[in-house]
Amino acid sequence: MRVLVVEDFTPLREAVVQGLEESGYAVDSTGNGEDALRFARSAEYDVIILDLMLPKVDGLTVLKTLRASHSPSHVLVLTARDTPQDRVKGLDLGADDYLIKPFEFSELLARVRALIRRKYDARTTSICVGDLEVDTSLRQVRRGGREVELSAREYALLEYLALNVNRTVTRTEIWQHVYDFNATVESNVVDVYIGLLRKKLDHPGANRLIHTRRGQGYVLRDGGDE
Amino acid sequence: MKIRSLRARLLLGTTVTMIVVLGLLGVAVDAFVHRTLVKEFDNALLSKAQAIASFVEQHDNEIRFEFDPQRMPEFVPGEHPAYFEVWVEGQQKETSPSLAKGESLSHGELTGTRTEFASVVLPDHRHGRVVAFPFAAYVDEEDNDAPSRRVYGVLFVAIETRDLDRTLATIRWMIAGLCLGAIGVCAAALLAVVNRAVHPVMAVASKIGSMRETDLSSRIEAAGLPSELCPMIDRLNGLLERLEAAFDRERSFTADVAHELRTPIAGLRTTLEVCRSRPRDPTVYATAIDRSLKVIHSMQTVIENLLLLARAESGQLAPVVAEVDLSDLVRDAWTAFAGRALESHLAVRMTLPEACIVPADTAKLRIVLTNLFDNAVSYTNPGGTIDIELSSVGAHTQFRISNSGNQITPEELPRLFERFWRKDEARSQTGLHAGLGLSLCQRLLSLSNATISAGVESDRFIIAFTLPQQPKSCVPAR
Repeated sequence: MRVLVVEDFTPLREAVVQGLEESGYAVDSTGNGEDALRFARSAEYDVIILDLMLPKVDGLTVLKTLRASHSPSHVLVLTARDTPQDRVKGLDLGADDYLIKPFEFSELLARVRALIRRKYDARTTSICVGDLEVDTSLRQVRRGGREVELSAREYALLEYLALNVNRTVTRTEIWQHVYDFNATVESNVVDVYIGLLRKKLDHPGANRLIHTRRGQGYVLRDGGDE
Repeated sequence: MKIRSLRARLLLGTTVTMIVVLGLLGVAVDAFVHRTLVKEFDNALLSKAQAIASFVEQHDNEIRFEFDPQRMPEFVPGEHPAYFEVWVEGQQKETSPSLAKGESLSHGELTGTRTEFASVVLPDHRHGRVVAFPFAAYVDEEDNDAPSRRVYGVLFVAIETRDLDRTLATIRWMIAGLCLGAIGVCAAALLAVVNRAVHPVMAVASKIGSMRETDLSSRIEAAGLPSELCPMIDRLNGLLERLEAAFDRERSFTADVAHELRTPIAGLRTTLEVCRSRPRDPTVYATAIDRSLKVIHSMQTVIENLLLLARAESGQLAPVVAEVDLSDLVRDAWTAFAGRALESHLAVRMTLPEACIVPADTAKLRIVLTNLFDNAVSYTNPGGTIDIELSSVGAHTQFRISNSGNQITPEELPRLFERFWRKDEARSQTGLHAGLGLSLCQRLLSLSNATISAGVESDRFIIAFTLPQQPKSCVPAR
């Protein structure tokens, strides 16, 4: 999942970015509102973590602009202003969630996960496809009751496929949601990771779950190839 | 004794005035009525005397007195008789039948040389009026034997004044009663009016009493109040307004402080939590610790500036004045920023006297200079210029610093010295510029009666402060 962190206080921004990356998110970050809008235009973020006090363009304006342009990103507002009026104002302008500084990082992660579930209409933290179970809160994957060890990037790819279960996702979509701007990757990296995932998930005698749609992309589905 | 109550003072003042005025009026009316009635009574007495005098006739040299008691029964002895005496040529000639033998009429102080009246006690001890009426005895003109000499006499007539006295007493009581009644009614009416007039004061007092220190937004409605109260209400409302503004400033200041500290704490906490979330290399821990220390340093600066500001504002910082070489102080304070200026390729021009000795508070001036230099280095555009100038202007010493790359508009100048005001509603990267620097400078300088001002000139931002002291010695630059 891809997250944009907009926070002008460098130590906080860097720590949040590091924590999110270590949790398997593709993360971009900026310290001002102008860049935030530019970033949001050029990539589809699942979640935007937005500070309200920003140089150049302030957070509320960024929020308004995003909502005016029908951005599908869910916005988590991060602010030191804690009065109910501030919260109401932020939520009324289209924020999806509100977190007051200072916060516990695990709470930030939980809220980001909740926003992603909401974005993909997943009500529960675990997604089951056949005998595959993806637990998005524990970030655990089981196949036929047996735990599958995945790298952070492999997990991110599988989670994205699982959240879009039964829907064909293009390579570009995968690229958009699983890699950040800093990732220097080969053009066939998606295919390489799909190969790796299949190897780890499939065991002899089990159904193939990740299907290739030639010229379109991939789909996670319980059932044979058509 | 001083009467404190406005109501009592008003009531007492008006009632006393009313008593005096009505009392005098009553006395005057009474005196007038008395005089008029007595005069009327006297006139009646006089006409009686004239009638009696006409009974005295002169025939040749003989005086005859032909009084007919039938026609004037009041002079006959009875229950309340009237009296008269006729004196001719100094001799008592005749008396009224009512006067017993040996009784005489008191003449008071009447001499009988002219028509006069007096109050006397009558022989039967009643009060009465007596008139002395000098007359010439009647001579019949047709009588040929005209007397060679006319006889003159004096007639004293006295009538009791019981009815007159009664009437006068009744009138006096009536006047007194009327006056007292008027005073009573007026006092009662006055009490009601004063009570009504004082009522708004009480209403305002209870309104003020019900105000809470937590809510200063309410005002006292001046509409409908007596105009005398309006200036007081206006002033009170003005005071409330100023208090409310001060409280609002204080409230937003607290919110600003919370904000200023929450963000670095969030940074600190997240840095440490993320770092702690898994085992890491010692170098990664070191990096996290270094970052945390930087954040702590910036928080410390904010807190120390706040504390300094609070102390300066509450007058806890007394100026410590000693002679100091300002040129030296400026050069010394600049050293800490020379490195950063070099990094940003700033061209710095200093115009300082070789030495400039001024009595000043060195420690506070150093804080001021540090803040001004920090601002200049932080906000000058890369490759821009900073001009630093120290000079003696008249009897004062002036420090002036200007930098290129100004972002402040003239409209924003007055806000520069507000606590936590920043051009951008955002923290700078270092966290050092919490928007406290300039208000701190202003406070510290005002402690030693120095003034600070900011200005904008094309793209240059200028800040200058003036010390009220003249340099003791100023060695010009070589």
